[in-house]
Amino acid sequence: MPLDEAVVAEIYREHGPVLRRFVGRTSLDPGRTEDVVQEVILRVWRQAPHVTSMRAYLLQTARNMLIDMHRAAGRRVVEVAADRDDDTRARLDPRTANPEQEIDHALDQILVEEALARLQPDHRSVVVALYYQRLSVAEAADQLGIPPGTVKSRAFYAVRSLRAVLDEMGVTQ
Amino acid sequence: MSARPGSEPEHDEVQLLLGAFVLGGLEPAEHQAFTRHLRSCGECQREAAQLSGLPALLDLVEPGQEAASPDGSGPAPGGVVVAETGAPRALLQRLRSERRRRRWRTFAIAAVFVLVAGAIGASVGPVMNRMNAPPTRGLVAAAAPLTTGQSTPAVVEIDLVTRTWGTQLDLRGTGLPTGQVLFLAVTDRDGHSYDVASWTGTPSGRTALTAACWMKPDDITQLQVHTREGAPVATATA
Repeated sequence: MPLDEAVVAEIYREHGPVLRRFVGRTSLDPGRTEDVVQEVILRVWRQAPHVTSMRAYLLQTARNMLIDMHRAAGRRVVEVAADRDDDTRARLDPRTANPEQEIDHALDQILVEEALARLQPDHRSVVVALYYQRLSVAEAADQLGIPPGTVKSRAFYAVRSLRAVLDEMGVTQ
Repeated sequence: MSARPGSEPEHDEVQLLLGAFVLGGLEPAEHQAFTRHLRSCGECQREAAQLSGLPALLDLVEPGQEAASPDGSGPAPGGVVVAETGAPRALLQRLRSERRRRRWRTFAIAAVFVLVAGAIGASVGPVMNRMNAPPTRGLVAAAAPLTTGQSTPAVVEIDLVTRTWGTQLDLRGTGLPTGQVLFLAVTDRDGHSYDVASWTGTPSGRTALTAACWMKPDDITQLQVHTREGAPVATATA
């Protein structure tokens, strides 16, 4: 049925890049990224879910698949790690010691990037100036060439829409 | 909208400071004014609480990375062979082999019903094929006119999977009526019909679901997708 192929192709075009970005950020062998992305799309196509955010659903599916893959491949490693005393485990880099945390960390990162990317450009530049560049309202107003009052109101609407987008994508933190 | 606290005439103005309060950058005087307001304003407290996790989340992202392309759309990476649709050939091949595999699996364990309804012509109507693990036979079922909200012929495939408790019915349909409740009815040898699934027609007309029934596949004499009013959308008779 060519319909299925059109649906799958559309999902791939629209969401393939963000899935690759997410999968590529985990410790998975980079040669397998494309395989995982395609498998995620096929799995979601099979389920044909009715969801508000297809992108969030695909990313969640990818996260679950990565964790399953990791558990299947690393069961023995985890068993060995469990035998170690607490001091040894505490000394390990938390990311390598807990790959599931690393996967969730990468997912949160991608979701926040998505939320920022979905802000209006005017609002995004206020977030960058105030939060990332640590500018004061007056400095941000100067840099962006807008009145300080506009910086404040854009900051207000920016944090509100960030929260709304993150809620929609299932980020509860 | 929640009620505005009447005791705070400058509420709207002070509330706007919440963004710069969360992101940082307020002058000390404004910061103080806002924290003072926060102590007495339940609405702002609630909103500030909802936003309290935001800085930790923003910290996950490196400055500069945040300006990703808005919809993230883009081509397949280099080295991936792409079909005309823009999807990699490998993906489409896996899709096709998946469909074959699915068909094979159902041949092996049970029977497959294919229901086709509508549009072919008033006198032809839905076509049903029941394919048992060999032998295979095809049957023609009664016509069903196109129902409201249905623009293309409905095609419904149902795999019957034998379970110890009865039959699992895996339904996949396209071209189903949209925006109304649909039912899947199963009829037994005595002519009694039972609805074993109900769902709302999706805007795309595509539905995939699994239903369960206590009857064994061999005891099922008819499968029908019908509307709430009982109008058949697609019917298959064994």
